[in-house]
Amino acid sequence: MTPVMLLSDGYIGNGAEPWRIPDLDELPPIEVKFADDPETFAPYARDPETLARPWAVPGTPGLEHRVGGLEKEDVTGNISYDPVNHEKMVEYRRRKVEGIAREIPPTQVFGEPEGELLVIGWGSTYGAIRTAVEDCQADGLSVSWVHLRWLNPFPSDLGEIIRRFRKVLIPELNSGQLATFIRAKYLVDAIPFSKVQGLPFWTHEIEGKIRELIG
Amino acid sequence: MAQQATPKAVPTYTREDFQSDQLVRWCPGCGDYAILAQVQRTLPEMGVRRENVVFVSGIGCSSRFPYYMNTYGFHGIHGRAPAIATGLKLARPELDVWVITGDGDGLSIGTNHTLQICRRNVNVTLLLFNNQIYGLTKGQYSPTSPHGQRTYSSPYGNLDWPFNPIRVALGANAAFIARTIDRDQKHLAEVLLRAHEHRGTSFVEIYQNCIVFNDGAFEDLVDKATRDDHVLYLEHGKPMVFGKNRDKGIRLDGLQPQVVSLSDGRWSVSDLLVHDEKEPSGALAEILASFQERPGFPRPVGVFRDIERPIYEEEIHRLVEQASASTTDQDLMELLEGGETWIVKEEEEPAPVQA
Repeated sequence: MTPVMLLSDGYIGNGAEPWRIPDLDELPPIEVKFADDPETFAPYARDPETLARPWAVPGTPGLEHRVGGLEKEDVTGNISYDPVNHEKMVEYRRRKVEGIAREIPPTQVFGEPEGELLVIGWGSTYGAIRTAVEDCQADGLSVSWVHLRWLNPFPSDLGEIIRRFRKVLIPELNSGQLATFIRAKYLVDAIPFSKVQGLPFWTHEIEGKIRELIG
Repeated sequence: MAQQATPKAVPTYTREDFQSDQLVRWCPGCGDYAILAQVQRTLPEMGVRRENVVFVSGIGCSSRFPYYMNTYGFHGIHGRAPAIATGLKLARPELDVWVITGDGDGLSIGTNHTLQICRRNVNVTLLLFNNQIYGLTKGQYSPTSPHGQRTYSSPYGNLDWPFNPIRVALGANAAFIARTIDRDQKHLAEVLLRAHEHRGTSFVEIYQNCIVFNDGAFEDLVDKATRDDHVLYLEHGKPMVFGKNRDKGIRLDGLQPQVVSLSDGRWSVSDLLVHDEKEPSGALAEILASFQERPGFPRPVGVFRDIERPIYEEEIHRLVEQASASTTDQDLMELLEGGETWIVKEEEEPAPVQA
């Protein structure tokens, strides 16, 4: 019961490229265990690892309960105006989302695992960044690249990867939102590189920036 | 809204079975208490299993309602209770779903959703608590506040012209439309039972007194000394008579309703308009809804309209069944690979297998 926001953009919407269709038999089943025991059910109890609450669906006798936007008491789900309880619940929700990082596979670094410059990208800038980095690497520049697929939470190994590079460049098609988060989270002097012209990056724009920084 | 056939017998419930253990947090004297009590009293008569009952609400004073019901409940998103309820009914048509909303939640931010559920005719019972004010946010004018009303956000008088909720529901072709009043407990119970019994979206406007920010908005309609002269109790098949001495009535002059006296010898009961809940066009309900904008007219309460229309979730499931029955090729993988797809082998250039 964690909301998921999938960020898309106009480039993905308007673009066309071959896309691998997954083999449906290889997709893992999504299994949900619904609560059904009135003796043990507590609507705001939490799984110790994931911090997820149990899920009882309407139609289950004896498990009638209410969910909603007012703050609830831990475990019982009673409406609660207790300030300390509120802080505890906010903390639960934060940790629940952070815990999703456990499911994120190790981050793949395109290029050497350490060096002068790390380019961090996300979303539809993939192609332009990749070609720019490949060209620079072919010229012997010490540049590597990480393309993030998870923005919140970040992969748990991201901080360690960032620290292995002297500089960090973050090209993105906005006013530098990812750069702001990376700087705040990892205390690194990441260099934002923005473009907000309703157009994708050109490879030469990113390549030019890389060469300006380490060329 | 009739419950679909359940295999198990429905237990005998009492009012207490539908009361949750949560402290009710409305202002002392709020009209919401009366509505809550009446819903809890009438549910045992409705023949539904408690675990199949779901109350869905939006945001506002009225929308705290689900917390106080010992049923499944979802205090949802501002104005979006009808959307949540529609999804729930599509997924689980056997559930007994109620939407609780107010004049702010259902007729400003959620107007669109109110209209959509009515026109689709999803089988839910929708109670719109109308207190003609924003209570939770402390006294700003709402979409049903009268023109000219002074409130904290309209100190020189409200410039907006109010929505007439009955007309809004009619505009969306709601199949069941009724109005009742918080303090008229007997009438409220009757209307709740009728609304629940109806299959399809049952739209019920409940006049509800906000004792703190809009006290007395409906006083003429509930005060024993005045109500008989100000309220017209709608009864199917009956001529429209009202008044303390049952000496006034409604007749139609062309398309215009008139209040006439039955005591001056000019008109008799047989000249009066006869209520017809089944009138298919909605024209009669529209005339009745207009009374609140006509000075000197009584306010109609009761069932304005009760017609049959196809139930949305039943139509959807019928459509799915029909489509499934007429489709032989149901392999999803085959479907995914059916368009412009290629097989890419390692170390080879992509070669089209289909174009």
